[in-house]
Amino acid sequence: MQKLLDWMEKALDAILILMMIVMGSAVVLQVASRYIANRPTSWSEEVARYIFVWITFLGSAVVIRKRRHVDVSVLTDRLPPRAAWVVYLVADAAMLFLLGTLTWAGIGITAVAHRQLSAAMDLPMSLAYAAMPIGTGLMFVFLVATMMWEWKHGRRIGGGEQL
Amino acid sequence: MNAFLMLILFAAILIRIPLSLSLGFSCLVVLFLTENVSILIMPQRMFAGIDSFSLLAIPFFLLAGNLMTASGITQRVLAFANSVVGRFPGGLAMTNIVTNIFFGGISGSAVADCAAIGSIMMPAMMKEGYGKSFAVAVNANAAIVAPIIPPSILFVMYGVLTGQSITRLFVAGAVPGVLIGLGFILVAYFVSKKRNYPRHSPSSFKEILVTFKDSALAILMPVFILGGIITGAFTVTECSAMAVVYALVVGLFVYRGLKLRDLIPVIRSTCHTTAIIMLIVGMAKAFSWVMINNRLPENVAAFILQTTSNPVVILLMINVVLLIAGCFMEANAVLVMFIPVLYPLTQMAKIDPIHFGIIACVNLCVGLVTPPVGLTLNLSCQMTECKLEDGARDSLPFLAIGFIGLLVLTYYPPLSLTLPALLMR
Repeated sequence: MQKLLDWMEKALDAILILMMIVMGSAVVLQVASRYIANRPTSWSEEVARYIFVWITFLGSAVVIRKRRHVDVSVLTDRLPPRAAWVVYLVADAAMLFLLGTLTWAGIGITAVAHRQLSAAMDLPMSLAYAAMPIGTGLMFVFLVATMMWEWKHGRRIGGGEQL
Repeated sequence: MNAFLMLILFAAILIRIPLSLSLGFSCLVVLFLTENVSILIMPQRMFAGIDSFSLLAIPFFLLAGNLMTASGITQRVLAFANSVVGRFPGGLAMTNIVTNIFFGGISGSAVADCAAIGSIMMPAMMKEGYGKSFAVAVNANAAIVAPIIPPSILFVMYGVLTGQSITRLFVAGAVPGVLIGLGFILVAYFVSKKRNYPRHSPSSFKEILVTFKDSALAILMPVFILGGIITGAFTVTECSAMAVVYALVVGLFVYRGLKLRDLIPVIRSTCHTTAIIMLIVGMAKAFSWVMINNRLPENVAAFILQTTSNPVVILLMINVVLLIAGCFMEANAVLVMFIPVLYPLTQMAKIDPIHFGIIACVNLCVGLVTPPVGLTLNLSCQMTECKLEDGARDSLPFLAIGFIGLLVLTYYPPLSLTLPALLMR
């Protein structure tokens, strides 16, 4: 199970890196096309923006696996370990509830967006919106896996990442 | 309903739900309790919050800064700074601050600079006999000039939220950022003199020239960045992408400290940081929609304008609110949550929007050092295994400068508004 997730994390990281390269190239190309070819591209901005949304949600999924989203530990640091575990359990339940709902709502909004076309490329907007249900769904899966790992090893993974 | 929203948010943060998800969770609960609103509004607002060409400048400026760091410019800039200010009492502390001022023009993120410079400077300072807590204090505080000196992620965010020109904000931030940095240098000087911290033997003029030549491409980067956007050659986002190209060329071919195999970890960590920030932005956007839907901005404006319409008092109140929020929240999140509420009020009170942007961002930068969620202070403490309380105690004189700077900037607008007026029409 964890092996499969390790593999998924690596694959996601590879996709993220690729996306960042494409996103950067699109904007550089936009500048180049304006100054060198004298004909600004219309698609580059849209490509970059939609990839940006994908990076946000796929990246968030990778980041949640080691619990590296910024958090505040002032209260939980001062609790006895047993009490802290209970608090963490409540927190994780709330997070799963949020991520589950967002996945479901994300599918809903993607379905709505499927009927709209993007302004420059005439592609269905669902291609961009799908980042949300897929990203939050992956966050849900990764968080469950992290909780299972912690349960088995009896300790909590990491803390908030410093930005 | 607004009080309830805040209460859930606060509780969620306290039980250590990440900030982004705390915003999302409180927003979700209130949406479930609101009649006649579809839950689909939440992903819809999140998408709208992230899907912005201007905000693309954030990952690009982050990437450019990370690439420059990976190519080893930190040592070059340090050497130059040390050759200039190393001769004074507390020379190494001043070197740290001067390096941060230069680095502020390369990256737009305080936390990135804090890590890059701190990993070299804090051990060096401790080795020379500066106390651990002082090294932490210098490092954590000096880093906050980064998001004030252009380029700055916070200004990008403020510009997107209010529709103000990001270029103008960048230009307006230059003088305040450098002034606060100079204030920090003064503090470092007096504290070091009192505690007898060591000075380095003075460098000759030639050494200064040589170290400058070695670091010029990094130090002059902000000049290119600002030049490109002030002249209108590039938009801010295009400019941030060109900064990445610049950093790549300098790192790979000029300084040659950057190797092709370094690129993968650098890009990967930039993606992760981007995701962390932008998830906060997306969730905060949905959160602020709920606040606006519950008429919070109007109520706040009406309530405050009832008591006073004096801009001096209003700015003071806003500063207090932002400082308190900044103690508990990440700066970008505070901006996305509070600017839609506070901005209409400042416009009714006829406060210049650029001036207000500088105030808000400087305020939140001071909040980067204040516990419990002082990102740069926490990070510096973690890096040296210093107690947060000790680091915070030695931060007090620097914080005082931060507060004084904030007050002066708040009540003397020309400090921020003169440069944009001169350089731009």
